[in-house]
Amino acid sequence: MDDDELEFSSIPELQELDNVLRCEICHEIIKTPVISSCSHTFCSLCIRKWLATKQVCPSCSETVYESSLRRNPMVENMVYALGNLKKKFQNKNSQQSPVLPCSAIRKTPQPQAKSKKKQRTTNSTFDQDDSNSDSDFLPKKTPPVTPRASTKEMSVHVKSSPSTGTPSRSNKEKMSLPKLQTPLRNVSEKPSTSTDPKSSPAPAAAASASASNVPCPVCSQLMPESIINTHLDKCLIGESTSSSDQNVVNTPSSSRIHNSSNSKTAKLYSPGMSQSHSVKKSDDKRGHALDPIKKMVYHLFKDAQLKKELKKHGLSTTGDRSALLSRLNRYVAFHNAECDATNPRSVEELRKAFDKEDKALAGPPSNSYSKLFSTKQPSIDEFNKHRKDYLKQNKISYDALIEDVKRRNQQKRGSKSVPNGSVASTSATADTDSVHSMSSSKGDTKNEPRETNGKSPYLELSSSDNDAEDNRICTSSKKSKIEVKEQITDQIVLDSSESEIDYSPLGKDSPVKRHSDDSGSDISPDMNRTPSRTSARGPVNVKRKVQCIESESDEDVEDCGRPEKRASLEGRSPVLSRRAPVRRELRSRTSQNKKVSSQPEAATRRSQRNLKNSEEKTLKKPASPDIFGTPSSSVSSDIPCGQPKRKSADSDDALSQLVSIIDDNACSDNGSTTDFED
Amino acid sequence: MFKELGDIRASGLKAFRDVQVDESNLLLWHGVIVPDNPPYNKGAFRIEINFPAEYPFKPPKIHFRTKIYHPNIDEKGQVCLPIISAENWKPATKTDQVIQALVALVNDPEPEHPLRADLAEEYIKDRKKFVKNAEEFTKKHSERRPPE
Repeated sequence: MDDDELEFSSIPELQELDNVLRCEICHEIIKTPVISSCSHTFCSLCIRKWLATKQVCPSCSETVYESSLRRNPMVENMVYALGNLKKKFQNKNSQQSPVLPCSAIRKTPQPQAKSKKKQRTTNSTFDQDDSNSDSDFLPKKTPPVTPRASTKEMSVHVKSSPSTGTPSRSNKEKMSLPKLQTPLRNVSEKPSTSTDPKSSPAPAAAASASASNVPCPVCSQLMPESIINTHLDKCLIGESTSSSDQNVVNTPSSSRIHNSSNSKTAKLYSPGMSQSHSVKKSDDKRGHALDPIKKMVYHLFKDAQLKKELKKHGLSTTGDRSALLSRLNRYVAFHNAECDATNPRSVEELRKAFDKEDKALAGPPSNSYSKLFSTKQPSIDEFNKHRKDYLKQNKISYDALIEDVKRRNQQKRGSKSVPNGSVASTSATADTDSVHSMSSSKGDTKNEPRETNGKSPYLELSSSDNDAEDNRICTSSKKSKIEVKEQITDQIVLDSSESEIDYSPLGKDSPVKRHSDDSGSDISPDMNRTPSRTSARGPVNVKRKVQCIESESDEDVEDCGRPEKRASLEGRSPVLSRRAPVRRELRSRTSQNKKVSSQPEAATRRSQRNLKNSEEKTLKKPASPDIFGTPSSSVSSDIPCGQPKRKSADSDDALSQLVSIIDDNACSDNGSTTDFED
Repeated sequence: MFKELGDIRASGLKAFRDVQVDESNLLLWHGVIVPDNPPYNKGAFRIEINFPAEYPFKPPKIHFRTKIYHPNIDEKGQVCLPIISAENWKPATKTDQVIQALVALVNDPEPEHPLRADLAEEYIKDRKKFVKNAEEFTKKHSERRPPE
């Protein structure tokens, strides 16, 4: 019937047929059609996808279950036929004129001549028999003429058509045919095929070459009638007939046809299979080649089960639960849709195809998703590493800042004024912005208020770490610093130098802040360290430090008790913890002497050098008290060893304690300022 | 999508013109609705059809870009169109069906399912006033009708 339609179709009718054979869901020519319980036909994959969302027919809203879908091979055949017809028309149109051969009947007599030409062109690849050229389409026309008992006959005609120039079409027919027909059919077919083709060119050629030849219904090879049954048996079993083909087929033309058509099928439908197999298997395998996956209620599955299920099908198990679920569901639909195909792909191919689709679908979003969340909660190690890297990167600017602050301290050293704490705190916050900009460029730092310069390292630290804790710490430390102003500047020097100390593997944020409020007595140990790291700093720094010490020596006396308390609270790295006692000692000393400045520069330098050495040692064995005591001849002679031990023990908890510590520091600073004022 | 677009363009719907689709985003269509019935027959209304990525498994969304005095279309341009509601959506529904339904809705408001209750009330109780208001509104806000 369709053949009739095609036969007489001019383009609008063809278009109509084209429209009719489209899937209502995807609007494409229907692919592996299935028919629903309400008699609507869709692409297998489309309807399965839709039923996953809602179990109603997309056309009539009747309830439809996936299990009720059935293959619709007839529609599939129509689609193939249509496709081939279209191809043919296109070819002809491009070669000659848009007028179809059959339109001769309706429109003009001309096409008859044209049809000959067309025929020649199409037949040129095959055995050509010009004598038969009158009607290329006779085989198609004949079906209505000859009494059609069933679709079988129709298919037989189609089968014979490969020789007329459309091998691909013939393949499809070949594949779908066996379903429609029983093997026994051959016998009954014989007459029709042998008679009909005679009037048509190429089949006639084959037929005339061996009048008794009949095509195998499975592989559509031509062979003598006498051996068709044995051949058929082989064919159905799935034996490779390619070798035997040559023997069986008498005419070279038909063998050629067969081969070419076979190769096309192989390419089109089952690239993995050998040519002759592809044809046979398509029939034999149907149903058991690809078993549908039983649908489960995957939503009730646990994640592990889901992953197991995915693995079972060889799918990736990346993504969160919803991704897994959707992937599994989509794959099941994909797989089951393939099961409806006449010539299903192998599982491996399916998997590949699905993976491709899956990646294209879910790839980009999942990536961005993971990116979004990867940075959110870094582990402590990452955190520290990041911080260290940052410090290393910006070391130069830090050094410059420190240097600058020191210089300014030196200049201001003469005039000491202890301002009120409350006022300063506000300025501190205002400074924060400038700090960032300042820290980036070395030279600018000079003119800015020292507070900002001194603080910048902290701020940078905190900003780089993106840690709320740090921010808090920063603000609090800032406050404290500003409140203490003059001493603070000294502290800042200390702080900054200590921030450098953080480069050491053990360094943490906490020490920096802690020391910031502790007074200038820290200076000497800090300084000892800094020269080793930055060559820029040297005697000048020392000098300044000494001055700082001077300036603070009297003021810091009150602080002496506090550092210990703090130290015990805060975990410190051994190195830093070392420093604290020195500082304390210094303070107590200065309080006694009231003048550290009296120390000669040379002495401090010496002490620094010694301290450097000692520091290295202390890094190794933090607990030994002697190291610190011995080297600093002038500044710190004897060091209490109890404290450092305690601190170092706590060192690992430093991060967690940061906040409390800083608060503590701030308080202590406030306290110290008031003390000084008094 | 291409096919549907081609269909729509080929169908030559009088009430839906100037279908424009960004080549880079086939899922967003622009067009102009040209109603036939008063009080909207004096103007044209720009609409936007947004196809979800899952189309046709999920319905397209329609927005009015031109303000319209209509009981079923709210101030933001959202439309209450049963055919593209999530419950009623069928993937077999074609876009031209959707547009026809939309045009029908614009031409004949359904005050029974209003998005703007005040207008629906006015529509039912005082049709004259409604028409007058709608005409004024249309004059003020709507676009010029494309030539026939």
